[in-house]
Amino acid sequence: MASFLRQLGAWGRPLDVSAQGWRGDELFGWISIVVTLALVVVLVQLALVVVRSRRLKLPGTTNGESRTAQLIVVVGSLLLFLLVDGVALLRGWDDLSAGLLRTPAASERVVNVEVLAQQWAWTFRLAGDDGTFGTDDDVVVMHALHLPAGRPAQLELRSKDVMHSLYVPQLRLKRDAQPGATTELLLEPTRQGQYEIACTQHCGLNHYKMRATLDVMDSAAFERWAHEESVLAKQRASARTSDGMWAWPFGKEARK
Amino acid sequence: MTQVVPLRARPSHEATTARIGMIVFVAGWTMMFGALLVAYLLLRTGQPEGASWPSAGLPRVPRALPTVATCVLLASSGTLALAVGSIRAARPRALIRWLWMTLLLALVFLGLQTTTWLRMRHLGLAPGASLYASSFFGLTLFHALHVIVGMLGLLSLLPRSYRGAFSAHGHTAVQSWALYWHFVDVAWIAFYVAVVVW
Amino acid sequence: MKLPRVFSLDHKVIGLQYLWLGLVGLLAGGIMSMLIRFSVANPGQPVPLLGVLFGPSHVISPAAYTQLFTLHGTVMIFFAITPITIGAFGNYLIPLLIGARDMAFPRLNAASFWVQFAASLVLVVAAFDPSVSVSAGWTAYPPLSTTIGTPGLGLTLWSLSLILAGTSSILGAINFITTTLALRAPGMSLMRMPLTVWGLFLASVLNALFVPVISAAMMLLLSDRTLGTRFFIAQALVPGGGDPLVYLHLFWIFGHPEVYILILPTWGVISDLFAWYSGRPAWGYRRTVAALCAITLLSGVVYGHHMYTTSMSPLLGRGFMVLTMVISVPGTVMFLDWMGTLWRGKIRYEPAMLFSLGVMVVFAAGGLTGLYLADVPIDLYLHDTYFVVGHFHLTMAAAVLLGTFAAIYHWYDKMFGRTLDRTLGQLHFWLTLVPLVVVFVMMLWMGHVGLPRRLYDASTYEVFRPLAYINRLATWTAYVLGLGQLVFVWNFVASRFIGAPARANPFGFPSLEWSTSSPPPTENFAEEPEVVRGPHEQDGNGGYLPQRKVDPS
Ligand code: HEA
Ligand code: HEA
Ligand code: CUA
Ligand SMILES: [Cu+2]
Repeated sequence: MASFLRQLGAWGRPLDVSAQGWRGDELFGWISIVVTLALVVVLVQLALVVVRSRRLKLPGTTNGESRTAQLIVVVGSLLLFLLVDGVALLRGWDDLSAGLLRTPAASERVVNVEVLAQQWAWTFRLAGDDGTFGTDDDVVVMHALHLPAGRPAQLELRSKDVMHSLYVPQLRLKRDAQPGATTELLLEPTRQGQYEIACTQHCGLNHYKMRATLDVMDSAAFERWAHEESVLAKQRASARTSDGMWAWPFGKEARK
Repeated sequence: MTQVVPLRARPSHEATTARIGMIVFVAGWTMMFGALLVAYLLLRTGQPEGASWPSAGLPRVPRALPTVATCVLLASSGTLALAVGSIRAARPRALIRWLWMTLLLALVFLGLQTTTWLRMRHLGLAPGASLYASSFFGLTLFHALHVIVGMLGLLSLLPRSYRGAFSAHGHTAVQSWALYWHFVDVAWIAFYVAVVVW
Repeated sequence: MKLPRVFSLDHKVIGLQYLWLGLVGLLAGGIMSMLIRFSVANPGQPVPLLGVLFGPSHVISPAAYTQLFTLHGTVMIFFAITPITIGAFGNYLIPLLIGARDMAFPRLNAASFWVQFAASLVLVVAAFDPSVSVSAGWTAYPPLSTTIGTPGLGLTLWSLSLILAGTSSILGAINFITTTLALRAPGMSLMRMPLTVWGLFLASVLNALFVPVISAAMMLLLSDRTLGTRFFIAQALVPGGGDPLVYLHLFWIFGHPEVYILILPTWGVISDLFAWYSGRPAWGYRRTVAALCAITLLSGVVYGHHMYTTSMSPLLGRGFMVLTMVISVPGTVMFLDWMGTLWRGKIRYEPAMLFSLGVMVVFAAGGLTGLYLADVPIDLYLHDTYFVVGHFHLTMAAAVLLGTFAAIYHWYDKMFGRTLDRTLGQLHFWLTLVPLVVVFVMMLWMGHVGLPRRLYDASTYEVFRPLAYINRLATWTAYVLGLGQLVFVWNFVASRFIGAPARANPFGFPSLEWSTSSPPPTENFAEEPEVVRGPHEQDGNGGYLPQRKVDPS
């Protein structure tokens, strides 16, 4: 049942390559079933009304305020509420705490990434070999986010100018990047490959061009890549590297 | 269109409608002033931790003048209440006197506000200088706009007062503008506490 | 003092002025939607017919596209639907349906129309400002909407225009509320009012309370744009700056009630029309009223569902998720009441009834899609995709638009003293309903697949390239929809002159407006009506007993 709902919800969507994306898909599948049923009830009722209206001599006289009528309406509404909202609340709550908005344990070898959005580009920064941000060996990449498959990545998003939103259809998630605030997003890609990152918050003329790629790599390959980049970064570092990269102190030290 | 003569004269609802209308108006405008206050609260409490208010290096607006202005505005509410009391007691001459008095006090209030704004500019607190200055200017200007509208309303009462159009039982317009005025007064006190005192 | 007729204080004249103003807005917004659809299907291609609007190249640039959807949303909401459903029908119908001579404050009423008119002019100037800067979306999130993101006179005028339109709405609301509460004819208790009046009344309550909030937000924005204040320019950008999130809160505190402001009149109208065209009482009248009131009450506390992806605290997000779901309960109650009204009804398929039935279908689809969006886990994927666009077009552009047409078809006779052509009306219905559903369901599908909204050229993203085909299909369907409206334009305009003269009450409707001539005289009723029963009481022969006490003579 669960897997059927999942497939139903994912029908037509880009392949889900995340550890948590099934949650939204499954809920989508469940709601779709209830909603379709409700729509069918409505349409069938309308059809019956049309057919029966022809044969009717006089319109019915019930005014809908009898006990039975009250009961039908109240029970009907609550039923729809429970089937959609009840399930969504119970499940959705869990989805959020245990999945989409969870705080990963350090033992999961979380990759920390700082994301800087600006008109109209994405910049991603990894802490580099020393594991701290704001040092010479930080790995800074524009337009491409590299992540290892099978490990959670904790993104911190900020914006330099207007609001943007980082969106990966295959991971079923998005999160706004706001100037003056730091937002967080947990990505858990499971499958290697190249995917697209879109900006989904209207951010000006070239909003539609604000595209980046997500490169999900094999964990070992990722480590290798990150190490090489970090060494390169350190070699190339100069006193003014950070001026060139960031518009303002970026990362935890600048958070409110 | 056919010409129609109402067969049965219908009662005038003026007193009721004016009251309901003013209540709805005040409710709506409370939302507007409330929204501004909420915005201010959110902005101020959202300042980075440890940041001072006003931000470091910026002077504070001196409190003295706005405090005097507050007293003046309060007094104007008092004189306007006296105006309404006069007409209720069927003393149209007193109504005119108190209306003028109220207008005068309002003018003094605006004068004091203007002085404050000028002094702020002098201190380097242009609207764009900081969020502190922005809030101060934004909220007080917005309020002053309402004072001006209120003064126009009170002015519009004067010709009718001179004509003797108001009576002890027929002075809905006076009551409505008085309600408006008291509202603007109360709103000012909220703003005063929020941006001047705090 | 004799004023020319355009400055009339008669609520009926003002109502008709609003109607024309709104229809012009609808036409403009509709044309813009066709241009949007053209651009979405053929980004960067020269526009046929209307190309001159876009300079010598005849091409809709990315800048022009952002301006198009911003203006389309703004015009449709504030300058088309609001003036028609609330301005026109509120003005025209409230006094007639409750048996009053006029509005409580006729001069305020005229003022509110002229302020709205001024707002429209300001918007037109803004739209043609060469800076092409009315382009921050109808939601105008800062800092994009401040001078940092979008300098230019256009957007400044846009926010001024919204302040004016808001002032007009508030003034109108004061009038409507007072009129409904104080000027009902003797015997017209609240529970005898047609549901149309209930819908308009509750919409006015929301207008009076929540439009001031957006006025406040717009004033702060305007001040940021002109005085150099920095309420919404973030701390990170300038030292001592403000916070854009505050704007989002203010905007949606207004924005969510606004969508109910738009639809409450329609809900009221079709609740009545379902009864009147099927010979039934409005099933569960009191329950429907209670449901409408409940939605009105709750509408102020669910707005956070537009902000699930922002930096708003996730805990707050969950609270809003629960509240949003709760508001769907009264929605369902009202819906089931409609189903009850129709059940065992003897339906007359007049255009007004067809459109009302259409509302039911599209609102079911639109309302139910709201249930997906209410869930945070789903919305994190669907937010700002065409799924949202599909949702709100099914509720607003479909349900409210069809409801507006239903009301026009139902009251046209009364308003103009002429009869609309019935067959053309039925044709218009099918030419509207079918493409409407197809277009917006396609949008739902594209959003479900993940297509972001406000995207000039979707082919930027490889994942969405397979959607190009269905996108073009949606565009062609939208053209059919647009062309179908010509039937209505013809019917509406021509019937003014060649329509058969309308009788006072051609269908034996019970409500008060049908007890006076078509169109009603100044001051509406020759004699103050006395109301003796509710708006849908059957006479036992398939007809209704008039609400008004009939003289035996
Ligand atoms: C008239 C307009 C209108 C109406 C009525 C609604 C109604 C609802 N809306 Fe919608 N909404 C908008 C207009 C509207 N909305 C707009 C304009 C936006 C986006 C603005 C923007 O971003 O630009 C939006 C966006 C929006 C979002 C944000 C999405 C996002 O940006 O990510 C959400 C999320 O919760 C939402 C939810 C709802 C809900 C739960 C309802 C509920 O009220 C629906 C209740 C109705 C029902 C539940 C259906 C009736 C019941 C039946 C048919 C069942 C009967 C049958 C049986 C019982 C068998 N809406
Ligand atoms: C009530 C509001 C309303 C209405 C009715 C409509 C109607 C339509 N809308 Fe609109 N739309 C919005 C509100 C509305 N929309 C909003 C708020 C947005 C978001 C903007 C933003 O992102 O900021 C939006 C965005 C939007 C987009 C997304 C753009 C994007 O994100 O990139 C699209 C794309 O297809 C679209 C299409 C349409 C279409 C095809 C119609 C069709 O239904 C139109 C059909 C109607 C007509 C063709 C008009 C017919 C004219 C008459 C009947 C007048 C008769 C006149 C006389 C008698 C004188 N709309
Ligand atoms: Cu960045 Cu859209
Ligand atoms: Cu909403």
